Amino acid sequence: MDRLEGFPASLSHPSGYYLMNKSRMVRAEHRAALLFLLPNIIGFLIFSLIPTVSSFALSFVDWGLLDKPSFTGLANYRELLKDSIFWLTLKNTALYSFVKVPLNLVLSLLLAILLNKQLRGRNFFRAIAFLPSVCSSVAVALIWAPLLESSNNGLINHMLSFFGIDAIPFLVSPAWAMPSVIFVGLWKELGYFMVIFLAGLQGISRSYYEAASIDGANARTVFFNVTLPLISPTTFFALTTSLIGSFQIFDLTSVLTKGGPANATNTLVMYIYQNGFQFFRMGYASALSLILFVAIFIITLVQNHYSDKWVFN
Amino acid sequence: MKRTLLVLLALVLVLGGIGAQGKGESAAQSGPVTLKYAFWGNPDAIGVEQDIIEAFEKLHPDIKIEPVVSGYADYHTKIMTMIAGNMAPDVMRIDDYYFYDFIKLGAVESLSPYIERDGIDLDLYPKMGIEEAVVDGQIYGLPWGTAPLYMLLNLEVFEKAGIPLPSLDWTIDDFERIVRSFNPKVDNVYGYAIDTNNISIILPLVWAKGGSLLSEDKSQYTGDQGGAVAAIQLIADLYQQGYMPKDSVNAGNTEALRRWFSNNNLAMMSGSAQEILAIQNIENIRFEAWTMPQAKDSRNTTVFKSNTISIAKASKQKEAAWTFTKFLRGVEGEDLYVKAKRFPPTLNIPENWDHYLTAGRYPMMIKENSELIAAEYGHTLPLRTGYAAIESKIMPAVQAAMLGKSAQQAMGEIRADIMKIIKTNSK
Repeated sequence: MDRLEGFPASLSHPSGYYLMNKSRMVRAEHRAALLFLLPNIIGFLIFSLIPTVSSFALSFVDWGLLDKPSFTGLANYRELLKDSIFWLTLKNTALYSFVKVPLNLVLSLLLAILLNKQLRGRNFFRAIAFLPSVCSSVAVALIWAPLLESSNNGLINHMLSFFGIDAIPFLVSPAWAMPSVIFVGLWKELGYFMVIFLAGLQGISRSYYEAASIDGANARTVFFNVTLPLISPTTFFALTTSLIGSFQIFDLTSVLTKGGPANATNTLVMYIYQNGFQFFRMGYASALSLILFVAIFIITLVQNHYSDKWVFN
Repeated sequence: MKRTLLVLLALVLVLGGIGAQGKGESAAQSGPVTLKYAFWGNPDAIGVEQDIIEAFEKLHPDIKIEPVVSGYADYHTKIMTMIAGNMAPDVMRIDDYYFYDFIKLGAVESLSPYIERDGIDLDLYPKMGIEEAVVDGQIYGLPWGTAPLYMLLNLEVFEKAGIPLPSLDWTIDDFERIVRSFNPKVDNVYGYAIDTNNISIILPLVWAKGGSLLSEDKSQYTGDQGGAVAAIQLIADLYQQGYMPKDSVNAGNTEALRRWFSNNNLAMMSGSAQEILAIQNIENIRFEAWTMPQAKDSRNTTVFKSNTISIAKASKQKEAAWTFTKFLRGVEGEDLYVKAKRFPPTLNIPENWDHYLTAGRYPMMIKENSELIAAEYGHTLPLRTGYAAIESKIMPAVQAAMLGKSAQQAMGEIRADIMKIIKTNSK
């Protein structure tokens, strides 16, 4: 083929001409992709990235929402380090998360395995188990508050009294309050993660079980060596989302105990809310938010880092 | 990549521009003025407000009212966010717990010039309601729903226990004696219960013991001294000795208190006018609204609390907003509130009680007792900027005392934190 006049040597060559067309095609495809992604990108920018960056900037100022922000440098962070309630809420949040999440995963997996079997009324029980997860946390808290009353007026304690068991101070003792909140949180979320695990279980090919059966594997071996590894991507998803959600616990404790007694169930998000919207300390609330963000970010990074070791792809 | 970012930035700016243009157009609209009126309330309360709005619009066809309604829990956050987002309601109800914060942040217009110009008679309003609305000599709102926080007495429980009702001049010692007269371990009936969500619940007992939580000028914390510690220790002792229900320490038990009271498991509880309204809906309940127990040498121990109707500083229609505020908190508005039994009469118009009271409906002595409280037994809250933050330190300390810490230690441990809040909010 003759050299094309007016074009650089590289493009006048047949392979150069092809490369130019290819790069045009790629650019056109990029533009189309960007156009389709645009609504999501705009949403992400407006509702996630800009607020996150703004929150970071706000953490260095003193701002009461309506007055003019004044730059205070690291003062909010210095205050935070000395704030005993901050450390307490961080501890409470970690306690809630690190106790509830493993329990949640184990129980919802067991429930999923149970309801994955050919049982009579299986769909009915699946629906019953899923039902609490569609209720709002506020409604769940309002339902459980009278049930967990510490006198015999509370339904659970009333029932326990038939067996001669003394009333348990579910929501009024610092020792019992957090376990009670964890229990209610579990009750609400179990159904949701059961459905996630059900989907994971149903995605496992029968051939693995048949092969294991031919090899003479017992139920325990099948569970630990076939089922668990094969649903590990599901477990990883459940672990990550459950942990992030747990670190953001707010509505349940806000209604059930209002963070009490004596701050025993006060959580980090609740403390952020109080500082931002009840005490109008936006700068300090932003600093607290950033700590929460960093905590969740580190935990997610660690999870991702170690996922190679146990997530079977 | 650079070009992509520029395109994205341009799109965001264009979208922002469209939003801004929309706002400008609506502001330039001619015709009747539309005011945003913000208030909190349940569906019943919203119905009453709607009736008042309709009555106002009939009188003033050139002013339309657009209600901005929210549940109480998130109300002040919502209003503050609206103001910060340049969408301030023109007229807004503010709970006095937050009133000083709103003023400090410059969200509220002074009504003094309007009141002086129109010759509004402030004697019409409860004195303590006006006191709470005045900051640095300026009135920033007209009182709304000003009422005592009564001690509610369950008459049936008192009768069954054979315990005579206290006099209106009862003391803190009478109160303790009555609470200890009940035997909840035997009959599941308690003399007294609280929720630990609110300073207003414990303050009457603190005052009755001769103490206070803040100094007279509200610049010092006094909750770890004499009377205050004695009152908190009394609550803690009654709780630990089983004279108060275990759930009293739970700040989220307001609904449970009402249930125990209406089921005749509880003789006494604190109750606002709103609480009375809720209890009145329970059939066959006989109860009275009483004074709080007092100190031997001081009667002013019953909390007299107010809310205010204010005009936002950012309102662009302040004259119309003032016209509506005058109606809402004037004789006409009050009449409609009282007829709907939204709250007991709050203006000094004795005839209004005839609209509020229903023969045979409890509490039957509410008129006499409310007037007495307003005249002799009332006490305003030590409201100031940062009040909610101070409360968030005090109530967990009260809970800690109820759970076994000595009141002196629990209330002393929060001194530094509270003084810091006071200092920060005094700038």
